[in-house]
Amino acid sequence: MVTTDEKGPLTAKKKSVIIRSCDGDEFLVSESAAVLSTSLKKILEEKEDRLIHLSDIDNKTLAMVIAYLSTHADDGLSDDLKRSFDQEFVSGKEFDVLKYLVLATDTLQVTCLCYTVAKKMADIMKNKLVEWVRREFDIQNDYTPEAEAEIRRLDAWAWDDRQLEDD
Amino acid sequence: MPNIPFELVEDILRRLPVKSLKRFRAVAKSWCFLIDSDNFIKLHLRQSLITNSNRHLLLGGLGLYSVNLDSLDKAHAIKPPFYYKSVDGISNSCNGIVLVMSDPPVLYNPFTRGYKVLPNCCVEYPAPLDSYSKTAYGFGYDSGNDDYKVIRVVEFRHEISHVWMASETKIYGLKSNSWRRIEDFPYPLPFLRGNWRVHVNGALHTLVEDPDNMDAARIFAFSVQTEKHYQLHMPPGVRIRGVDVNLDVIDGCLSVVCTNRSRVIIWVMKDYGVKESWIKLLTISPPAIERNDFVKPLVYSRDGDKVLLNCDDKRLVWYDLRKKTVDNVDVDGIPFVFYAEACVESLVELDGRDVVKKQGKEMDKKKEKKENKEKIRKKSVKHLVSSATLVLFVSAITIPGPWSENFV
Repeated sequence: MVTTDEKGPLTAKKKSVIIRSCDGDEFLVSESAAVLSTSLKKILEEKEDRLIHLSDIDNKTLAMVIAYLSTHADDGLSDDLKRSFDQEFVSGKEFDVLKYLVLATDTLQVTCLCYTVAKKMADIMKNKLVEWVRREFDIQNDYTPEAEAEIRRLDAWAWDDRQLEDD
Repeated sequence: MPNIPFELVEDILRRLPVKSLKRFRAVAKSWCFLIDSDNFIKLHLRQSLITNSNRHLLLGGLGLYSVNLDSLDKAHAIKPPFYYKSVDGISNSCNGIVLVMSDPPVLYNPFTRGYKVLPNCCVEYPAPLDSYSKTAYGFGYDSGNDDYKVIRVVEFRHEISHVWMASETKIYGLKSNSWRRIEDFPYPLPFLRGNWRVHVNGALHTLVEDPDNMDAARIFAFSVQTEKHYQLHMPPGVRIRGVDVNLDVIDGCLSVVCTNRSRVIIWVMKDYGVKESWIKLLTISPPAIERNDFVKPLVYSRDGDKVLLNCDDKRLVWYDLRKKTVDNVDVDGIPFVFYAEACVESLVELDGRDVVKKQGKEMDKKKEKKENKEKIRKKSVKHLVSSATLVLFVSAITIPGPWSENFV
């Protein structure tokens, strides 16, 4: 894990940075939290600027990521507490919200959160139908009806589940 | 709606079980291509291994069942898509694949339903006078060559004294799809219960009686990659006189289980090959288990606090390593007797798809009458060949039942 005591131009623990979302909202974040994102850490190392503008992350998603970073930067919390925070963090979130989150964590390179979100998305997808997946990922079906039927017949057992959901 | 780049899609798909992935091949061509790619198959397997997910227990004995290890709630019957008798034994699992010891043996991935019937392999060794033969199969992964290998040892023993006389060893590689003979095994396999389940670190392990000391046993390993034998140290002070000693594996570590009338001790070798790393994992005795119970460690719980034990091939229990207590596990539909093998599900392909495809196409018979005739002709020829193979196998070798020794 990255710590704030690392050598570099910005070492003071209490320093903060301002992060601005694509829709203009600004968030004041402690530097120790910001550097848990590999991308933000690099930006902070490269320039003195205390204001970071993120052109592709909206305010709602950014607020969530910052809540995560702040919790994980809190030295007073045990690893167990952080783990249960992670589980709480993704539980009950809509698939759409998770999509924005996974993109944001990928952009910001917050690997741990990216994995947690990807796992949650996989858990939701697990029992879904093909049509649901196409809708959620905005994918055009490029199979001919015959080719798709052949795939479905080959592994017909993979559809043989009463719990398959389309919503 | 945001558009998720394909690398991220891959990252998410890697965390899905095999069944969902097989279904999602129908989403689009790019998804099908990804899911079928060698690279994705390996990444998916590695993801499951490092996160301890997509794990199951395979139960064999009478029929084949799988139980999801995270829920441990229900035993699902598995019906192999090839000729299979319900008493046929299964080997250890390796990357989601097992060897089904039918006539002929079959490599089988129960999660993708892919399989590969092994080609015929005769015994070349001239049977010594007054001998009978006994066959053992081992199965493992050769990571150096990225190949799955089956080892067959045919042992000749004296009809009356049962003394080991000779062994013939042959090895099968999935890549070459052929058998070849290798150097004969220099030791008999007395402790095997019909097969060789202890696959750790790319080697198959077995206990061998110590010729110099009647009280002791040695651990011999056969490397699937180098095809060489080597020896490992036993846990300190373990004797075999008056004690039933078994070799096992738990979550990739070698384990020795010592059972006598009053208690069971389970040892684990924490660092493979390091003599000093043998630790006593647990000691358990009645009433926590029944007297004379045969105990086999299966897996650790996710948090590592508990160990799942197979008690006497009849019950599954969680043993709490801290509290030293035992909890029975109730699995719906679990067979009365079984042997259990922990395994991870994988997409690893075995080539059996062609056969499945043919079966699928056969359903189109009515549409394609012309082709149909020819197919039937080809099929009947195939049928003849496979039944001839079967006869050869039955006459050449005697395959022991998986628990022949347990039931005697």
